[in-house]
Amino acid sequence: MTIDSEVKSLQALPMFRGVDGAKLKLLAFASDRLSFMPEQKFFRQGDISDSAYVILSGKVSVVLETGATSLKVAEIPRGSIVGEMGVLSGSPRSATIIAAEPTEALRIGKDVFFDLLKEFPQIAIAVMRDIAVRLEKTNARLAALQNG
Amino acid sequence: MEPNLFKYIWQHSKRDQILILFVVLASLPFYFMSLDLPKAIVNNAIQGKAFQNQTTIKAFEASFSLPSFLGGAKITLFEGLEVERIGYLMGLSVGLFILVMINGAFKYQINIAKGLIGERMLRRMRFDLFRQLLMFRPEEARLIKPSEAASIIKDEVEPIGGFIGDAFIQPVFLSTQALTALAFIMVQNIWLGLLTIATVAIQAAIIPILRKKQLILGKERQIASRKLAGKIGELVDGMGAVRGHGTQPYESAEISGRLGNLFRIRFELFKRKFAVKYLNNLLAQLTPFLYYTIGGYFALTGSLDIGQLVAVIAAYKDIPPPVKELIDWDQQRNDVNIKYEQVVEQFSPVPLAFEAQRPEIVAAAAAGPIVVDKLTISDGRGNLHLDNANANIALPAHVALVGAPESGREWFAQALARQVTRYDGEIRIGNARLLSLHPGDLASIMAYAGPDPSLFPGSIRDNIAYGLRRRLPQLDAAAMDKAEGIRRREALRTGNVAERPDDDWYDYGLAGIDKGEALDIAIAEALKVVGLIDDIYRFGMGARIDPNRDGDLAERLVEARRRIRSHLIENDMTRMIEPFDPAAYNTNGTIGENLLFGAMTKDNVTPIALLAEPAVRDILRAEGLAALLGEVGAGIAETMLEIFAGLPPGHALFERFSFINASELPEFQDILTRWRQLPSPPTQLDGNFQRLGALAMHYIEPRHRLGLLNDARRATIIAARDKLHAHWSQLPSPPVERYHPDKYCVAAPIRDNLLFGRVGYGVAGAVDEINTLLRGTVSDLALEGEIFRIGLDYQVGPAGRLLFGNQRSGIELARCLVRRPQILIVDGALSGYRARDAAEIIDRIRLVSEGRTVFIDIPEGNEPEGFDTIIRFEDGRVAAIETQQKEREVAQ
Repeated sequence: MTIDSEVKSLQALPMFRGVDGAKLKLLAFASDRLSFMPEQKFFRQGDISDSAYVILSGKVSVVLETGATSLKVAEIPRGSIVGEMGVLSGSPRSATIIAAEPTEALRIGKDVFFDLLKEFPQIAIAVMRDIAVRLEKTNARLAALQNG
Repeated sequence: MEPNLFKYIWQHSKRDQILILFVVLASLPFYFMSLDLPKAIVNNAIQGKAFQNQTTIKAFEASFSLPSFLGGAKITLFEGLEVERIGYLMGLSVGLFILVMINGAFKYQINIAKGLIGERMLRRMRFDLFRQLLMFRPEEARLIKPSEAASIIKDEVEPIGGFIGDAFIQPVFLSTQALTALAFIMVQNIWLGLLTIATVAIQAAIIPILRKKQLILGKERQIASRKLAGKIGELVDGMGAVRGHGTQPYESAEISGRLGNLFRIRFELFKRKFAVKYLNNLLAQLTPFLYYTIGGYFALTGSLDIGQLVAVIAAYKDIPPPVKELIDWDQQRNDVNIKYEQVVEQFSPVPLAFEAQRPEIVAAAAAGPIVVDKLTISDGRGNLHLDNANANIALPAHVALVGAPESGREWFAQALARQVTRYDGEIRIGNARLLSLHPGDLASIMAYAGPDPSLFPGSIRDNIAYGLRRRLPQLDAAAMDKAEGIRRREALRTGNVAERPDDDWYDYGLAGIDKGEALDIAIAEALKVVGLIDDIYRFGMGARIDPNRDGDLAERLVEARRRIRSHLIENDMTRMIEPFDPAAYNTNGTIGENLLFGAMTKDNVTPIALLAEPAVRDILRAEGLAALLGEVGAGIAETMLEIFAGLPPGHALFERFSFINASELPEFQDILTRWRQLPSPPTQLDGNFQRLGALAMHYIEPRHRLGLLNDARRATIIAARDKLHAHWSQLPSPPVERYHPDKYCVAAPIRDNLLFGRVGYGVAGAVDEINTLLRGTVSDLALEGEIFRIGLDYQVGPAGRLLFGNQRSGIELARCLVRRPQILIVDGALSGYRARDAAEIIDRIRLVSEGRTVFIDIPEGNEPEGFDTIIRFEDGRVAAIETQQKEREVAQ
């Protein structure tokens, strides 16, 4: 796996569509590429939010832990970014993320993440777009719940 | 200390001084004879007065007469010889020679004895000053500048020491010498004698006047130099602030100003010094002129014979030097007196009046109660730190001191720990006044961990066990050889102590252990309480072992390495660590690491510097690495240029990720262009192409993921590696110790030896899993103790600067805990910790202090739980004292 192939993977993701190749290369270069086994945890609910992950392949589960029980609330497919909310808000992890299958991800450290956002509006917009899309989905689900 | 230098010297060295005075007196007859003999040589031998009309005389008879009450008999020791004039001359000359030898021997002995007194007194004075230093009250001690104190003890007293040997003897010796010479001259001719007295009087009158200003300048110089030392000390301590605020020019001007002032003083001083010298020389040379004219006149007129004139001139030569030296002595006396007064003034603490040490008071005080009676602390400028605090605490008790910063909480704790001694009111422990407890007794009862830990250079173990160094080691009479006898005698006769610092000073009983082997265990217990065990373990893992001292540890660590390896294989975890394989390229290591394939044996040589050595570069070139490194470097440079081109220089991403500094980007653009234009890869890297090679050294394929390595390149690197090691192994001390799967690598830290490979990039959670595995294996093989022991050897650096703040605080706390004090006062030692960690440490401190007394400050906002007594502070007052005692009793 080389950075060039990662850049290709990133370019294929909807959120990074249209972002300059050199910027994506920097993003990839400043990140760690990690492979996760099925059931391996990315992070746990309550941990310090120190990094965000771009899922390059595979998928992850979002698990809420309430006391002794844990509840899987969603699955996030490849091409998404996870953990960026905690990094942006500075609050601890709100959920546990577990690899649902063999998963490859780019781990972006908190400082790098902010540096990239500050420096490259294109990447900042891509992240905002992703959050906005998710918020829309949540709103739609809320509306569906109220109506139903 | 005695404020008068001469009294101080006399007190401590009168016996030696008197002894030398006797030697001086004994030397005088010989001196007189040596003056007299030249006269006999000239008159009797050369001019032949003794021979008159004979050709031989009977000479050199040695005899003396008994006094009349013993019968008055004449005893002849030597019959004498019949000699001619030549023989007589030779005999007298030999006599003169012998006298010169005797005088020289006396001088030598006197000088040695004087030097010895001086050195002994210097040792005593330095030691006394050091002891004075220990007697300062804490308030005063905080105002002493360390470098000034060091400069006083080390440099300023040294000339005083040099003078001490001369203090009494020199004036006696010199004046008797001068008087003897003068008396001799007077005997020869009264007028010449009076002339001599006159010139000497002029010398003695004028020169001290000239020197008065010199003394004042000398004092100025002393103070200015001391301040300079103090300022330099301050700057060294505050180097960070100077750099951080960019005040180098200001501080340079400050030092330059001080140096300028010193220059002025010193220049003035030596101008005067040479003026005095000039005058001295003039007078010394003027007198012979007078002698020749006046003495010559007397000789011609017959009232003085030639022999006398020659002898007088010879004798006179001996007068100005002692007189001059006497004047010097007087000058030195003034000078040294001023210095001494200065020094003593600086080192005159107003000590607390302590009681004598009373072992029984320790037990009584530990039983309490602690009574704080109208305690009021102010800074003397009207600021009240603590106002009328009262408390009565039955011991043992766990007491929480709660309050905001500057609420009086710190002052209360510090007064309790006798870190503050100037206050109104009183604190009593048991029935003893806290302020009058002997420091030794106080230390036996109490330990204090404050906000500024003071660690000493040395290992962590030394620092934690420091508080146990309380037992005077027995001086073993059996082990005393001659040198040891001299060492002890010298120490005692100069008021020093005879115990050796490197004997065992530890009072193991304080830590509840009976022998030194258990010390590390006691230390570990204390470190557990302050939560530093993991840190020590990490230090141990990062340390190298000493194969001479650590016995079979290396073999056991290699065994652990094997276990870790097989565990990885059995659990399908081989991706986590890629082992060092002599025949394979380690993809998770840098190219440089793969070339070295070993650990550096010399701390002062970096891998990059080593790979740039000419012999090494020759090998790399011969192995075809030039093209390879150039290509890889070019690949890196290309990517860096691409991805970092859009970033402003100095951007954080540059600093952390780029191989190339922002300022170097244009140069690398140029280098890269020229590299790409080469018709074929070069066989060696010259000039700027070397910089491409240097980039390549840091490249790790799975981390940087630029796709720059392939199997052929890896094979080339492995081949070069073998050639390099073949070269290094020929050297007398190889700079690299090669990795060997079955051998311990002494030059590498323990951790690297256990892993024996590089952690795989890209394996999520690898680091945590490996740490768990390492810990497990270490513990399975019972290696934890060894690693902990090596971790305790970690050097903390000056004032503990090699540690983090919390580690320093933790070590100071552990130092208090390890000696299990009856009363432990924690004041600000936990302020650097996170609230949750601090709370856990406090719980553990209380747990190990069951049945003993603890005072702990609790930051505002945290509610203390389970304490016997809570004292709340507000605005410099005790706002409330809550005692849980009753509730406990009710519950029981």
